[in-house]
Amino acid sequence: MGELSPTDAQLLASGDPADFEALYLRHVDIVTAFVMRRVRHRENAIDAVAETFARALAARGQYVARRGPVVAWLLGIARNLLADEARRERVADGARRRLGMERISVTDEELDAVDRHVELSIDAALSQLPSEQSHAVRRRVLFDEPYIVIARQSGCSEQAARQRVHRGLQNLRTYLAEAQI
Amino acid sequence: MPETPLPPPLERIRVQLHEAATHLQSTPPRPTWRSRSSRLVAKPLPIALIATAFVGTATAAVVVTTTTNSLDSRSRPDAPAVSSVLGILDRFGSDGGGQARRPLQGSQVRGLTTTRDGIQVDVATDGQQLCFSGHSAGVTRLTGLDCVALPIPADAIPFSSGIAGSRTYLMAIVPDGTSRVVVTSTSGEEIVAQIDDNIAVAVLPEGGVAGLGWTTPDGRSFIQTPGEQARITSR
Repeated sequence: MGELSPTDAQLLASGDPADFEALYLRHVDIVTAFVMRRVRHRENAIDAVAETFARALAARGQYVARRGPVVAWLLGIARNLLADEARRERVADGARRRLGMERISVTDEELDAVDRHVELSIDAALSQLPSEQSHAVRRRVLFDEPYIVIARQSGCSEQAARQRVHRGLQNLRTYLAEAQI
Repeated sequence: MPETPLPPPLERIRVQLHEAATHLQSTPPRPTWRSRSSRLVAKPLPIALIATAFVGTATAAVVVTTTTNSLDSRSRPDAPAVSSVLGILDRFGSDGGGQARRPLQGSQVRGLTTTRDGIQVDVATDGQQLCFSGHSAGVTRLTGLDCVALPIPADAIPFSSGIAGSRTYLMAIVPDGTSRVVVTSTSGEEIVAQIDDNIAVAVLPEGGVAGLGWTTPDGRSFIQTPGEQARITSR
């Protein structure tokens, strides 16, 4: 896996609509997978994905690379939205309204299709990683398991589990970029 | 990923985002305290720093990028130490007209190094700007050099964070009277930052910074979350 080119940060900062689209395509599956496993009401999942990227677009100038990778920033936005959704039973739509984006209605069948799509897509991406990294990333990022539990069940130290997730996410980002561009 | 087409709902989001991004193309990003402060930096010089070691158990590489200016070389270690940052800020506090009361002369720079929660925070000021950065155990540079104009506004406190291993370190410079600086991590934890000498420091054992909240001397509470401007939450 080579260098990301362009990097996520470059895509985010460029201001070119095609670059933001490339960023969206690079990360929509992992953001969607993250959202669908945490959303309180399944019908809110697409709202949460749309609002996450709308906020990222609106705040593209506020991303600071040294605070973490773009994918972590996106997942942080999604996590905030989902915490809010759990309290208010709905997903905030401020960024979408400011950007003139309409709410997207989805049927159960479409949600099932999204679920299948991201599952296959994430499986494909994770299959590119060394098995211990794939295992750790899946359990930590997708299923929110504590590091200590991952470590215990993987027979490694908690620190090793953290490193596996960290390196797995780095490799995953590289794979996603290569697959997309 | 993958060359499989997106399912219809995700494709519709893609189309809407493309339209929104096209509309925004001619609109510059909204300014934040960070972009505002960067305009105040006299001679920005991009420097990419790669730190490959961190004292402790963490072994992951820390990669930071920063900008610096003429204050950088004097921010440490040769800047003359003063008793506290409070002293620095007092010296340059607003007199109501936004002017420094007793500015330093010429190229004078005063600085302070303090160690808190395992990190070293360096602060320096020339009377016009205040710059700060964080290091771990005097070895690894955790954050870039951030500079803000004085006096620091109560509703837009400058902060910076750095990641080493699994921990995220956050430091903020707060005006006198600021209280209850609370950092929310992406894993949902709320950490109350210890404030001492106008420096607030928090260590997040897990996750990145999801939000930062603080209360101003006049009792207003602010919160800033990723993707949002700082906003007032109570008066």
